[in-house]
Amino acid sequence: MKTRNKIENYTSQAIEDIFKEISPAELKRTEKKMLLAAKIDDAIKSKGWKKADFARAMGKRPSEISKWLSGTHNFTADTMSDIEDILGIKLIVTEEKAESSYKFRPVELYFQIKPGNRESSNYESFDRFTISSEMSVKEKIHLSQTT
Amino acid sequence: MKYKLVKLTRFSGEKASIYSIYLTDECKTLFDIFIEENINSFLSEIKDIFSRLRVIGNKTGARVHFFKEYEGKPGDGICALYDTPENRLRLYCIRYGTTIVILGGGGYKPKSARAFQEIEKLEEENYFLREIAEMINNRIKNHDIVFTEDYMDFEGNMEFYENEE
Repeated sequence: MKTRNKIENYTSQAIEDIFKEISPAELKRTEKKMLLAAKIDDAIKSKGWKKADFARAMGKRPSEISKWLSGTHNFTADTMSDIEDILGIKLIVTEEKAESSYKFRPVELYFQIKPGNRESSNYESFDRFTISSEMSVKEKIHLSQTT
Repeated sequence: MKYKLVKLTRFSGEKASIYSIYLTDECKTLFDIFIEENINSFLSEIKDIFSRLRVIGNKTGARVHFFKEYEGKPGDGICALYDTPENRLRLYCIRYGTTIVILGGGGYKPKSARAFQEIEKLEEENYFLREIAEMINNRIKNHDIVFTEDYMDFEGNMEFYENEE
């Protein structure tokens, strides 16, 4: 029967000492560059392209593309914009957050209530609503209009 | 000399397992030796290598475009972790798909050198890793070493002797 030993885990003082010297910011920068390269590579494959096809589309040499995909490259915004256009992907996010991503705060709305006689220009009272923070904006407007 | 495969826990994660070769006589791995030989002159490059290996293990896997392929014999899996053009430190590895990387040694490659064979240290490290790769790949063929079900690790006889056939 063949030996089926499990692998042995290992670390060393040299490895531990160097990890202490790497800042979270440095690790984050490296991570972003590599994830960016991975996203571009995935997009190239999704189009059924090889690296050479992408290089041709970008007007670059294949060796330049290899550098881009190495995970070490610092892209300019211009290059990322061009890549977005060629591959049809989003690399630069500039849109502001959608409204739904903001937390709602309770809102007090003040409405003038017309008397039964709609001919009158005198407003009898004001009313106000405190709207739940759980409601969507549409729900709030509907409530204020129908009440 | 006796060697064994060990898993570097500080780099390994859910995307890839990072191994190195432990030299029993020296009580350290090839990667430890690589660090010791280069830490004083190339600290920034070493830190960059550490960060990239950690991302490979935990976020991206060992995607082929992070490595310079065909640094060994055809089909043996030997490659070099990509360095930035301004970084001149070369680390040789054996890559098994996107889930397993074995770190070897390496060294400084001057810009003037077009091939590693021009640099004695790099040639030595590369050829040594080729011997290791041959031993491992023979064991895989003979099922003395197998991949785990998830292909994230090796199991089997992971101790080697120099010049074994």
